[in-house]
Amino acid sequence: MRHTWVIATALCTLGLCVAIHAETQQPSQVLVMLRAAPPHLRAADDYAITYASSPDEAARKRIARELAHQYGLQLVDSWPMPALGVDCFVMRIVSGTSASDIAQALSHDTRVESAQPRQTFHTLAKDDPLYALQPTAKRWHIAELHALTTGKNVAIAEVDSGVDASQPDLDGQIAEQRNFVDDSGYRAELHGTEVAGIIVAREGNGVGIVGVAPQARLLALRACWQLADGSAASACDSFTLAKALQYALEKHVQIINLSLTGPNDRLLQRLLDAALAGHVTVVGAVDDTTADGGFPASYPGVLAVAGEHADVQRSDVWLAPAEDIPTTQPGARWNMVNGSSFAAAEVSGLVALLQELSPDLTLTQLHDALHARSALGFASMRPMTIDACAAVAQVSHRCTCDCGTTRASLGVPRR
Amino acid sequence: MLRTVVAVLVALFAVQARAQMTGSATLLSDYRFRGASLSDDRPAAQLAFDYDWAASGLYAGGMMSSARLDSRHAVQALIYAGYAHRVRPDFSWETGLRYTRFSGHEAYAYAEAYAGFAFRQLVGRLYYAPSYFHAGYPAWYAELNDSHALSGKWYAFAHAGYLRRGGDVMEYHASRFRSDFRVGIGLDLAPYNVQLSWTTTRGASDAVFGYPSAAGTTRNAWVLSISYAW
Repeated sequence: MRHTWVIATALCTLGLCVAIHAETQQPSQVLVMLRAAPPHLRAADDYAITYASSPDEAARKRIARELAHQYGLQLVDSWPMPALGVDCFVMRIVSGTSASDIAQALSHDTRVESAQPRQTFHTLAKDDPLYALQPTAKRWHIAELHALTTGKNVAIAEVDSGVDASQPDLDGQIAEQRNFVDDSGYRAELHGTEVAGIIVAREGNGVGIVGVAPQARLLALRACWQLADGSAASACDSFTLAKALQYALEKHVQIINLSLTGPNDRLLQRLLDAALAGHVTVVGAVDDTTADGGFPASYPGVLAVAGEHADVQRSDVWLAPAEDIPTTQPGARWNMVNGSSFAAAEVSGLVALLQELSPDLTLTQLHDALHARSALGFASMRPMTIDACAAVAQVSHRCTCDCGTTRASLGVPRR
Repeated sequence: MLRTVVAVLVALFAVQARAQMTGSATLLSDYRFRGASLSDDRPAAQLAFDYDWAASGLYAGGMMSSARLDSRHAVQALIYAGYAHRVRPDFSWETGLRYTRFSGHEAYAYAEAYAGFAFRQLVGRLYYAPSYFHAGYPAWYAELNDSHALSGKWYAFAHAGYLRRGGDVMEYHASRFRSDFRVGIGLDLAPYNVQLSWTTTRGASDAVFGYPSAAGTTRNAWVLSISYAW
């Protein structure tokens, strides 16, 4: 047992070190955004090229090549971002100039809408399998909540590493898989599969666990990649995340789960603005090693979720179970996981339960439902633990779990 | 007319420094305009260019196309300019002006104004010409275009248009309405684009709307086109 602990600790440390190393490395690429004109009549509209998706794409590619040549860059990749009205071009820095200096210079070029370094993000799993089993479903009374709501048909985009859709608990639970990391095939990985299990694992199938929202439609968008075999530590970057967010917006998902963290990123902030403006609930995992909780959890409008025992000072952070969470792993395997990644996944599932009950739930109403209040009705000045039963009761206006407990949480005198 | 076209081209090149320019060359088996053949059911070649000032929403462009009017060869010159505004990521509107004339057939020159919207892949526009093909009466044209991505680089598209003319139509003993439809599939092999479509018209004949098409042109046609964009 002691031997296993040492190996697990070493693997965990190695994985985290790789992730941290990747994030602290100087970015070697920049993202250059060029404006895309709104669709409009074209010369040959009635004749031949009306229906091509973006006839002016060639013009932007030509400008991108000119920019790359002028600034000593190498054009690597591109991706349309209609949610922002831009095309995003990835350019590699071949000189010794820093990415931020080149991005700043490009930002002043009138052909360029905006530019920024391609930054690195990482997931927030602690990947420690040695804690004792302690089903979190019991704390949120999942089975009782499922009598009222299962998140049916609520679309959740899980922006993460790859999900194993053939895992017995996830078989038939994944609505769509997309790979935004590279051109190779979709790949099943640890962190993505672990997060997916917590959200949508099949209920009543005789194996494994129960997801918080087992009838939600999960879009498994692979924007992160596992750094080493056997470790959930994964990395992502501005470009892969932006592509996945853009796709989630195109698919009109109701919830986006971001169990990852990294530096503030202008492109991702703008995509989150577009999501929030479209009434999409964005759930972000808090990185308790940084003062502000890390991006995107620190971004206004994002539901920031930390583990119940996390040392966070912000009052707008929600706390959910983050230790000893049983969940799915690639293959027919299950394991215990720890980290705010999984607390965020639970909250994404809970939001799906609430949105099934009230599809027109506004962000304010959602905050009200999740936000436990003091006995006098004042909002708390500290991070508060989510009471899932109280939240469901508030949105459904029905008795759920233990009615007495629920009413106490709502500030209603217990009879 | 050549001087006008050259002047427009020079002006556009002069201000293109910060514009996004797209060009395309197209070969078609039949040049169908709102269902009417402007090439006498014969093949045609087209050269088009578009300028976008994406930050402001302004755009302009033009096209030169071979044509065959009244059984004689001609060159069509078309220019347009407009403004488009994106309201939401998947919804935008536009308005603009378009002017067309034909070499050796100046009597067919006309201008029209248009306004439209784009919602995802669905595009709708309403055109108004005070003197359609310079025939002395106004005409309205409404159209809807849609496209749908198929597997891989294939896509399907459809078009429906409805044309209504003003003025007296007694001499034609016909209605003042006409509709045209087009359905097809395309293959996007950037920078090449290949399309095969079937087009048809219903309602009044070409003569009622002053189209300069030769007598005997068909109402239905298969059209194959290949374009190269840069």
